[in-house]
Amino acid sequence: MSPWKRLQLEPTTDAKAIRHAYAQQLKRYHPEEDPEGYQLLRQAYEQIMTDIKTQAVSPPFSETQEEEDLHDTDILNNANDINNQDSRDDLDVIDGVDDLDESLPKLRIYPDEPQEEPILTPPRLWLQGDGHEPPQYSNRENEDIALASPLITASGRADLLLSNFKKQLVELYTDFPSRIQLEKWRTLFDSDICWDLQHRTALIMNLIEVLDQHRYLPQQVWLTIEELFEFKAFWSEDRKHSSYVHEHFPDFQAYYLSQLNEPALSYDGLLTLNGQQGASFVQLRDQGYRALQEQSLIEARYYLKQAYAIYDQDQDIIRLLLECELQYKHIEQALSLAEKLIELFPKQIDGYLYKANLLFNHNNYKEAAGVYLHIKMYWPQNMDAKIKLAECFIYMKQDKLARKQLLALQQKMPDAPNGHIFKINELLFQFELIKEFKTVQFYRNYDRFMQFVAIVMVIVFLYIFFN
Amino acid sequence: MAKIGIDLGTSNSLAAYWTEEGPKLIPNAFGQFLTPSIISVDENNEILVGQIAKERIITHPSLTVSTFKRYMGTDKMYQLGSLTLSPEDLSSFILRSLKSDAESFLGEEIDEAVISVPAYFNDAQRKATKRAANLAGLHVERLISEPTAAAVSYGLHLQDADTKFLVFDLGGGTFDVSVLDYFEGVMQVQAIAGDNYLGGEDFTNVLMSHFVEFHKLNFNEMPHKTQSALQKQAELCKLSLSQNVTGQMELNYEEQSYTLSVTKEQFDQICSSLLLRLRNPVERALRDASLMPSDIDGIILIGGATRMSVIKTIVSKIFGRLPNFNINPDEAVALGAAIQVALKERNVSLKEMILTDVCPYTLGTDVIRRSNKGYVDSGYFLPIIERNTPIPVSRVERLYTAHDQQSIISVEVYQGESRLVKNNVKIGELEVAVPKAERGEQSIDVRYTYDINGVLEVEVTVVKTQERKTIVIEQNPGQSTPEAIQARLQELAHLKIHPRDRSENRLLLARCERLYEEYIGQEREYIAQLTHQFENVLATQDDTLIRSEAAVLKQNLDNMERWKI
Repeated sequence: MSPWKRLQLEPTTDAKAIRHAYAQQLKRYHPEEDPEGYQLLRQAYEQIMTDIKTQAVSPPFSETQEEEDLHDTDILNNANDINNQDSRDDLDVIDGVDDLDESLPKLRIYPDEPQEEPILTPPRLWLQGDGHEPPQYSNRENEDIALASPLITASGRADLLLSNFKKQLVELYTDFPSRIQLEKWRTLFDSDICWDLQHRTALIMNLIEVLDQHRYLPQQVWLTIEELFEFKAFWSEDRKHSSYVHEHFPDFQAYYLSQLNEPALSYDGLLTLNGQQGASFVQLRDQGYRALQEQSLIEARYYLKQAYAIYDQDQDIIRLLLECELQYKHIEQALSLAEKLIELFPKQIDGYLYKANLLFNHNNYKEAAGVYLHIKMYWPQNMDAKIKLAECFIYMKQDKLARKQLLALQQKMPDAPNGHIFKINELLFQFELIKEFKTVQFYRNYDRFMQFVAIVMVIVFLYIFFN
Repeated sequence: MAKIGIDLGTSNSLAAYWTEEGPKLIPNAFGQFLTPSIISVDENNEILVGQIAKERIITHPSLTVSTFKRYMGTDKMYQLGSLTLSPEDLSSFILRSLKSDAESFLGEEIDEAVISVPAYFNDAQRKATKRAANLAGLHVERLISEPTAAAVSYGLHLQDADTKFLVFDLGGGTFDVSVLDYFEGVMQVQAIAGDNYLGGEDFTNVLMSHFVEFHKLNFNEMPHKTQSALQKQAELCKLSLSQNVTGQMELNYEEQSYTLSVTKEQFDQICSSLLLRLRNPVERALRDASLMPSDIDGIILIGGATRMSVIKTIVSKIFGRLPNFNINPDEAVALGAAIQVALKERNVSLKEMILTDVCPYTLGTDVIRRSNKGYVDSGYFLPIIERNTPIPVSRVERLYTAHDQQSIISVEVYQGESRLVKNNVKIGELEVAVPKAERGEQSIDVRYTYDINGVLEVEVTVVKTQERKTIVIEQNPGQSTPEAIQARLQELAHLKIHPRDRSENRLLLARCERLYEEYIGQEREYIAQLTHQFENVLATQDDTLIRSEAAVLKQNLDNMERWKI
């Protein structure tokens, strides 16, 4: 049955007539009495309402379509279409792949947007008001809230607020000491325009555009942005804008997600830097970090060295550079960086571990043992260090100490991870072999001694006997 | 036999009934419409409900419970003296008290009720509410969503309107947003969103934490009574901040007196994270209804917590305009529930209104996915009924075997919005046998049917053999059977509920006790003296004398408290 027939109505675009017909039919297919009839009726009604809305807002092949595409309502309708199209077709999910993206109709978004942009354009603005019937702020009892000045129209006011917000974003970012303080961002994100749901999409698009060019921020700020603006949900639900973001800010989504999910570089202590230094430092450090992750060593070292030259008191830069030097097998440099970590952050284990492992790997067991002992004392829960310490003892031929250390570890084994247990047992086994070997030697010596004693006794006995 | 509508709230509960002139609220034994949702137990294991119990929060904190609605549908148990009670038991006492108030007011027996629940209540919470009603001796055929109930009472006054509106319901413990479309007698819920763990009590809690932090006190080390006293102070401070620009908190603790004054700006600041949690559900509800804020004709605030001025400010910021004020946020839900009673009975004095609702959560099953490279990933959620689908609804999906020679397909039923089933809530499971064959050759049809009461039925049909299996999803299976309810009724039967005709005097005494603890010095002695006198009067058992003395005592106490605030 066609939806029109179900509503007992001749096809029309008059929403009021459709609603009237639906209300009439609802009495016949009452949700309480005829659930199936109601479900079919409701589906017919929804389908017709969606159809006439899409037709009304963007008639096919019309001249005005491009302009109309800027409508927010239109965006919502199209999003609806997408949902309907993909709705029930990918149901053989059990062996199918989610190929939603391919099946999407290619929508043109913001068609007047230049396809290729120079990298550093002055901040542009996503306008709300273009070709848009002004939101109905007027004629309501609350004009004092909506309108700051009667001279500015409502949508004009929103555009003003948006461009202001954008300006404030850039200003906050540019002022480095402010940039790394979460509170400043929170305050900015509490401004009225951020609460206003009418202009939500425009706000988010403006925010993404600014962040794409201004991305060296503490992880806390990224997390706050996700908490407040839910980019992830936005991208998954508003495919139209999502693909726009994808097209124009190609690596932003990946970068954003990595900032949310991966261990991030610390911004603590950077407040002592002056603005210019701070800004270049965090940028170089971030570039170096990324290069290191991609194993582009030359590039990584280049950036990290520069960042280190600007500021060498930051824990993360020292560690990154140290990792880099390790990859290059620059032992001396790595060791001095480890020393520096210890000197600057004596209460953190990292420096000690780096130093001890470096010494150990280059057969300096005595000094390594000293550092491991220190770690054992201050971070008693660190198993690695204790096992390494026992190994040092073995190599130093301090058998007693090694055995004691290993047995103590063995007792604590129940809560040790598997890898550790394996290592301890392996070492103990080695150790028992050595011990066995020594015991055998000892007994062999004992036998010789007894032979010697016996011979001496025989001689003495013979001597006494012959005398 | 009459029927009533009940708003079973986190902080307060109300009952209403339908008259020829429209819905009317039912007063309790003290002549008030609001009965606090608080239960206390006295030394004789007698259950005290409402206002009396509220007075005992400070004097007998360990024997008194409130906000138990937050734990409906969970395994949480409350220990009150020697009694162990579930949130359902406690709710049933409230319902029983409302029922007897209505019976004495209307002069006839009440056997059936429509009870409102937060729109965002899940299956388990709805079922728990129904069980509580059964325990109270009420038959509940229909639960109605609180915002829908409020919308119905709002819609009653609209003449042939064609309007879209949003109900913003911030109660004591829950937050719901509903978008509705009302035209030609059809009240259509378009979308629901919410947060089951956000409400007015959370705002009280942040004030308490603020006080404790400011004075560097340790809340957990405080005696129970001090904690209750602080909570009351925070509550008063919150109320005061709805009217004035500052609020006060005062606490006597370990021989010291602590005070703190909180300004409106400070309050905004300390509850900013709670305020943010209000925005996302609004955004989601609008998005699901495909509407922009400018499409909404009216915004209705209900729930006591919306009296806070900070809430009104936030709503204005979100929508760029002020909400409607012509509706009583405390009473609208109960009135709507009473209208629903009349609608259900097709009462002639009411013009017809057809309600249609949606399901608040997505319901689906788990499937595996095979990637291009042939990897198999399991644990994906396949939605069958999407959230905000109009109900009643029935949908079917065809699923195929995932492995060669597979002989059993297990269908797990999940509720939630995550892409992965592990982040959603599992609410049931069933298995069917299929003929062995190559992977993907055998299939089953899985049909989900969601009825108008929000009860889900799952039916699985094996396509090849046409074998059929059906389950009705039921949380905590077994607890809803008539036998189980009868058994629990027996267990609760030995508990005496304080008789409502003696409530008035009991309330006065409980209040005296609280005031005695709140005051010091001369006032304290004065209260002791008043209490003593009144106890003597009670002992005479002379009803006329007791009634007149009670009135005098009440006047005295009122004067004292008014003076204090």
